Amino acid sequence: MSQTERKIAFISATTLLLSSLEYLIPKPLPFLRLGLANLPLLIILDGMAYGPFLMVLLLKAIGQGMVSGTLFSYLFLISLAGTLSSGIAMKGAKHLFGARVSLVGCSLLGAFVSNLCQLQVASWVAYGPSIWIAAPLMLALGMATSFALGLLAEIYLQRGTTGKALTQGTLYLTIPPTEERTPHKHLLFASLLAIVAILLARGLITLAVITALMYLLQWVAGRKIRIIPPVMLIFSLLMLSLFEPNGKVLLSVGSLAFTEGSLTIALTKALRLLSLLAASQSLSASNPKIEGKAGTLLALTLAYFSLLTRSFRATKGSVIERVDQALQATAEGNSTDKTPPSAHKKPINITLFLFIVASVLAVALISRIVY
Amino acid sequence: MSIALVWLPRYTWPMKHRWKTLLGDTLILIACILALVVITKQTASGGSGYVQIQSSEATYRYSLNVDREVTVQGPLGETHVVIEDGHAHIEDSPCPTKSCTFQKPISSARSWIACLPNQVLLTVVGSDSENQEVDDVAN
Repeated sequence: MSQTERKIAFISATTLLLSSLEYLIPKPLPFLRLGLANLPLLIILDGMAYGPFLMVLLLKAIGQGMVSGTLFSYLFLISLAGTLSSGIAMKGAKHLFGARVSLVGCSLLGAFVSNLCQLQVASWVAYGPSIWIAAPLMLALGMATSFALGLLAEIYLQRGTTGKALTQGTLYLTIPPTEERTPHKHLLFASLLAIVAILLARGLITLAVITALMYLLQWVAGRKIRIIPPVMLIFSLLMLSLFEPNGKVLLSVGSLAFTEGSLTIALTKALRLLSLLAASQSLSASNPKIEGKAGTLLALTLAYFSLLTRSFRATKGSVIERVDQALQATAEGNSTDKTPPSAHKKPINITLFLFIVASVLAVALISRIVY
Repeated sequence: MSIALVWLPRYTWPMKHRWKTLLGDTLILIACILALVVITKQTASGGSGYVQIQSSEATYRYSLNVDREVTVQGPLGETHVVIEDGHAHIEDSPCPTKSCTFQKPISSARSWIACLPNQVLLTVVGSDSENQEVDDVAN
């Protein structure tokens, strides 16, 4: 594996480390994001050619999808649109203006373009055109956070050691121990069937039953179940339904009203999206294998990421110092533990898994007949 | 913006470098602010409002953006309301004169159509008030 490929994987892994760090930072608003994961992208903006840079963007999006288990859901499409558009915009701005633009300007432009693309894709795949109501707030917040992020990138490039070494090409990267995961063909096929069933299901009650079953499936698959994101999804879809009234008025305040039809549509949509998210989690648990060069790069990225996370946990000091130390240790192969993490997870109960998928399929088919 | 850029390069950047990026950064900032203003204006004026249909039984609300046909129940029978191209009108009603069906389709805020015999009232709610037109109401 060439140094460029290692560099691509290493930088992508750094973005993954930072996006998982971002989860740890308490935020006043749940949808407010600092976009820490874009920091490495800004730092390498000048020193990397278009091809490898594009590869980093793809690996960042796919890696985030794999780590969070959302790779096979609508969330991945939104995130991919944001990552690709902002990356290309930032790279383009740097290419066009050269030394006449700082990382602050690139960061501003990247975040703006990214938010626009994410809103457009979100309106296509999940929320409908009324999501544009959130655009002014999202774009304004994005400008503030990306400004701060651009400053942070400039400061890091001056002070941090790894960033400089990366751009100057003086960093020699060692290959980390890779984890071998056995793919479960049964679970992969069953999860895909569940996705088909979710798309076929009709009616609010059917989808409520299926959502419950899918969460059970996610639990059986050994994936962590999170509470806040689904609550936020339901809440935001219900709020957006205020702007698309449809049917009998249940409760009205001024020109806004909850109507029977739009509430049903919003809840149905929310439950279907939640079921699909759970299916994506179960699909991720089946360790699908990606073949070819892209697959090797992805495996290398995830291996670096796993090493980075463990090195980060072992370090002390301020967050920036710890990130820098973890990057150094991982790059040089000096990480404290060298053994690949053995899968301590308890094995998935395949019979139960298949039984739940069969129930989901049955419920969906019955709903097609009844409705 | 300029404060930040002066403060930032304190570490190593030479004086000349400091001002070099100002032009590009300011251009990007201005472009983003302009786009934000345009988008904010569009979302504020977007949404052509809702039509509210009050019958003797319940109140209904529909977006004017989506074409559809709605049937509501009144004391005399069913009144058919049609929403198309952002306008709403009464297509048919079981009233004796059918005068409500001859009224011009409504779209701007506070314009209305009533079918008094069947106790059905159509009002447009929460539309953009700038281009309000006075609908002819003939009865």
